[in-house]
Amino acid sequence: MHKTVEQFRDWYFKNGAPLRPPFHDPVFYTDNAMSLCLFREGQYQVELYITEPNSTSPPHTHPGVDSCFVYLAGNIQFNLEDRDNPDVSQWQTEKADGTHALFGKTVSSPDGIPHWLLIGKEGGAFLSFEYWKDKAPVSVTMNWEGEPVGQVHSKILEQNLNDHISERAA
Amino acid sequence: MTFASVDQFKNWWLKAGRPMKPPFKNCIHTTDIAYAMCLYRKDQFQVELYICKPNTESPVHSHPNVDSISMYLTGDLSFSDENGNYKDLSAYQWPKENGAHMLLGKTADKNNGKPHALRTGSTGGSFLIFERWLKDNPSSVTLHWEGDLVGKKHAQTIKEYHA
Repeated sequence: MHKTVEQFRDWYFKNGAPLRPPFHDPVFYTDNAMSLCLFREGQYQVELYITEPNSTSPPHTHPGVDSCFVYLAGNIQFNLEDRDNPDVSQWQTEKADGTHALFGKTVSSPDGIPHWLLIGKEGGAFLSFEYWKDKAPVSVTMNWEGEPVGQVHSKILEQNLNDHISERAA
Repeated sequence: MTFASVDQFKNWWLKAGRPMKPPFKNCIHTTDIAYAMCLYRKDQFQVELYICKPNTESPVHSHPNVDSISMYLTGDLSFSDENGNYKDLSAYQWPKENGAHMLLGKTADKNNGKPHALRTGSTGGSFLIFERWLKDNPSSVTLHWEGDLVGKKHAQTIKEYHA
């Protein structure tokens, strides 16, 4: 079994990037992003995120989750608090094979460190590898500490909280 | 590497280990009810992945001069014929032993530009669509759309593409 989310990421790619979306809780959305869980096993999962052009997310954390992002396409400025966050606009170029210059690049986002996204006019797509330390994996959009992305997200988080309260009361 | 049909392309892509090579250009497209990204594009062929919001439905529409095959990934979604009649897939809304959806990997009938629609249930859904573009260069079937649009965001996406 994997010891870290980075080990899980490496295992995933080494094993042909298995495409096995779960039956339960596969799809989530906010005001400006949608996610699909591509693979989930035990406390680990990988979600594909597709984000709208010209969108942002406020600084936030996903408590109890170590994450690791892999860049796929579009224009995504990923920022981590108190870290060097280079301006990615310098890499908005096409490689000889037709993919984005940043395709396959990875950034680790350890549990507890706030991060936020800025998306350009091209939209964005990335993989989010996740190790859920003490909860069953769902989606990091539901396990969110910080200001929500918008009204839709806020409503979904509120509904999720109400569902948990009802479950505990039952 | 050339393909004579969209079926050949689909079979090759799956057999080759589902290579993921999103193109730099025209990769990501969004509408009011679905977000899409191109996973792989080669000449007139491509495969797009769609993620669809729960409890939504598209109008009946077509993608002229595009041969396509849709492959089910997960969720509660179904495609209609040109008259808006949907197949009842409720009998297949169950997980397999490995936790995946019963319909994972199943394909809908090949579409040769005929009208169809899509609707989702309470979990939303996701599918792959393998495409062969007979005339135009591939972009997204979201842009190459004949029929009523899904909504304002869809209209905006098309407008920005042609700007």
